[in-house]
Amino acid sequence: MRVKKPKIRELKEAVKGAFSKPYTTDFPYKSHTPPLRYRGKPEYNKDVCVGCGACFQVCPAKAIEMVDKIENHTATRTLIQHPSQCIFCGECERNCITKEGIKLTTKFDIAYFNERDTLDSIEHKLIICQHCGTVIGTEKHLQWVLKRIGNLGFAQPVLLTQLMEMLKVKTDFEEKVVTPIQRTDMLKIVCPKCRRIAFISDEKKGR
Amino acid sequence: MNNKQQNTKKVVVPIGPYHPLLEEPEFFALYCEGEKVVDVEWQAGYNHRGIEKLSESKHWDQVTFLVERICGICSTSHPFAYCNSVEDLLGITVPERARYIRSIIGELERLHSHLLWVGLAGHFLGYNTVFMWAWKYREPVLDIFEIISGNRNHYAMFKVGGVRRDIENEDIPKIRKVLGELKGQIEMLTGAVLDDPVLAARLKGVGVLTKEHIKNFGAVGPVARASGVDIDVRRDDPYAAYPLVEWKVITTENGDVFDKAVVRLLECFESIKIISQCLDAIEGKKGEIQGEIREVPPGEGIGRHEAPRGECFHYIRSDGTNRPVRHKIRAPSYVNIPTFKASCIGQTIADVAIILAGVDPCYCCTERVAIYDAEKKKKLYDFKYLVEKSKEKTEKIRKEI
Amino acid sequence: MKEIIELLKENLGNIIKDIKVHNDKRIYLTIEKEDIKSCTKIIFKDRNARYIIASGIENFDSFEILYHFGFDKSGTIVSIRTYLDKEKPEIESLTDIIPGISYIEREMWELLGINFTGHPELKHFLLRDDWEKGNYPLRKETYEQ
Repeated sequence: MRVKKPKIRELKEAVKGAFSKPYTTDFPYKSHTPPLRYRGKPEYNKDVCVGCGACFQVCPAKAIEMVDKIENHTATRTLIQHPSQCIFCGECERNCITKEGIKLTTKFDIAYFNERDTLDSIEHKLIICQHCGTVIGTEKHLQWVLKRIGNLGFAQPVLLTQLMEMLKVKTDFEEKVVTPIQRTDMLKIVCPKCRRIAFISDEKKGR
Repeated sequence: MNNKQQNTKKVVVPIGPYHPLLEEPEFFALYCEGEKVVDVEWQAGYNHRGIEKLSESKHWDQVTFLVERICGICSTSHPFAYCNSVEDLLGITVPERARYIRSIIGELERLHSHLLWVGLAGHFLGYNTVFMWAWKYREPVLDIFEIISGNRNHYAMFKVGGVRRDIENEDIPKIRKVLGELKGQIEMLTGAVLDDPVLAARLKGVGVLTKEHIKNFGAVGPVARASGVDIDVRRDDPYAAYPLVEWKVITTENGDVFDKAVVRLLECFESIKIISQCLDAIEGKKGEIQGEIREVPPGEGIGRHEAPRGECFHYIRSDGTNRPVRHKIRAPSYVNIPTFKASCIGQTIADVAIILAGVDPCYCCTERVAIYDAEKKKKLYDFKYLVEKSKEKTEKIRKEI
Repeated sequence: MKEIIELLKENLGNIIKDIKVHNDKRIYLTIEKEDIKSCTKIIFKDRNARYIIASGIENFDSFEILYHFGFDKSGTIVSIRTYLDKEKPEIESLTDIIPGISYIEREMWELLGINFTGHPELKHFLLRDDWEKGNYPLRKETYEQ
């Protein structure tokens, strides 16, 4: 009869299916290693990250938070990565200016009771304007820029102070700049707006 | 007839669209007299997430990740159509290696989507073994995706102007091995469907859509090709690697659910052929995978892609800034689902489940169905009952043969 | 592509206000909103194009609706553009010519506030049935709120 022959081909598959293992793995009783290029939880590399904030700007899900805290004369920037919001797309890794600062690991088992246990964060020292207090950039970011542009860095006062810092030369550049701003304050650590006031208006006249 | 329809006071047992028993939220109300369906009403919107509005606040590269998450099964179709639309606006072509990689991802997705449908269709008819086997054959395809792109769904491979990641040469033998095994397994499934007399009696002549119906609703994809309308975006409006490889478009004549199953199963073989040819073209070679894009000028662009369910259409308008001003998305199920008005009327309740599934609604549909008595407007049964009825009818036919 | 432009010019004649050819598979026509029914009859019924979808857009000083039709033999998409008044956007419904267009017209009515005269059942499609009147989510002013 016409029905019998096709059923034989299915019988072979049925027998094979009955005697082989199920396709599912034995997780969580046995550990599971994902493939090499699996996109898991991102993590910061404390030695390489410069704190530029590029990962914060490109994240499509807004899972990276950047907090700049300025109190008295210390300023820190903290970048916090929230795995609960993350979509594991890899944009932070692709846009990192150092290429190694944040990378996607293969960790997939990140369930938690308390979110604070899984947050990955990194802190950097911030350089702020000694007159108005706006953020210029992190110390490591400015040193990264200096390394890339080489001798041209000597023409910029803020980078020059970073060079002095790296060479461990003591300077008096970090004293507070008081109003009225005068031209000599141009060489102290100031933001572009304040440097313009120093250079163009030079408020303390009659000297 | 008229005064019955004007009486809108219904007695409904509230099993809301979100309920532990149900799988997806959407709502069809079938008005029936006795065993025959008289009218169907569709209430949509339970899955509406405001994606077109969200798209206006993300910049051009971030929108790819947003539209990827419209659907889980056809997760590549929307980024594909979106990238085609921005490339249409800019007037650029993608580097050749990227075109092959895009087609590979698109066709692998078609394979796993059709296998998923075959499993669901088997489940609605009462063939649970087909369900288990089809989903088992689907698993190696998802593992391949994890090896190539890093994730089983939401592959994040597409970028305007190219692809984000390359396919490494060491992974290509693994893909070929999976395709080789899959070919034999799909041949077995196709043989089982075509030769089975119970399936033929159950599905032939059920839910017929004529060419006139297809034109009036604008239906696309396997639903249209099963009725003899020869449309396929990959051939009519070529993009990616489809003009560079050999393949053919499958059409059948009758337009019933049996033909829809045949079209989907035969399309799987064409997909395997396309992927093998694309792999031959990129194996061992090197090439650029990303074109250079600086800014998006003002203008408008239209892009489309043949998703597993039909033509996916994106329209984008830009005003020169770094985000879209208007992004119109049309998934293929938007035009395929309304064909129930033509295919369900006059059919019996036992057939409704398989007719609605034959359209392959994408992930936010038909699971929530309820039957109303047309006269008293009272709700009688829910979707589980429909699946049971469908299985009973199959049993009855099997005994007769 | 040239044949399609010739075809459109010959059949629609002076209804067309403006033709923009973006590339050989994308053509955009601009017509007045009063001519939309006759234009659709010619393109959909006589010339046998396929209905794809309609998109509604809010501009600074007007509303705009684009009706997209596909000519599948050559893979061309012809989009017909009409401008509507900003204060009271209104246009005739095309449900008697294309039955499947009723869903997108309902969606445009509830998300953008465009009124389609002659539509058989203009009620909510994606939003809740008791959504407040006058709150159109896809309009730009709701974004600033």
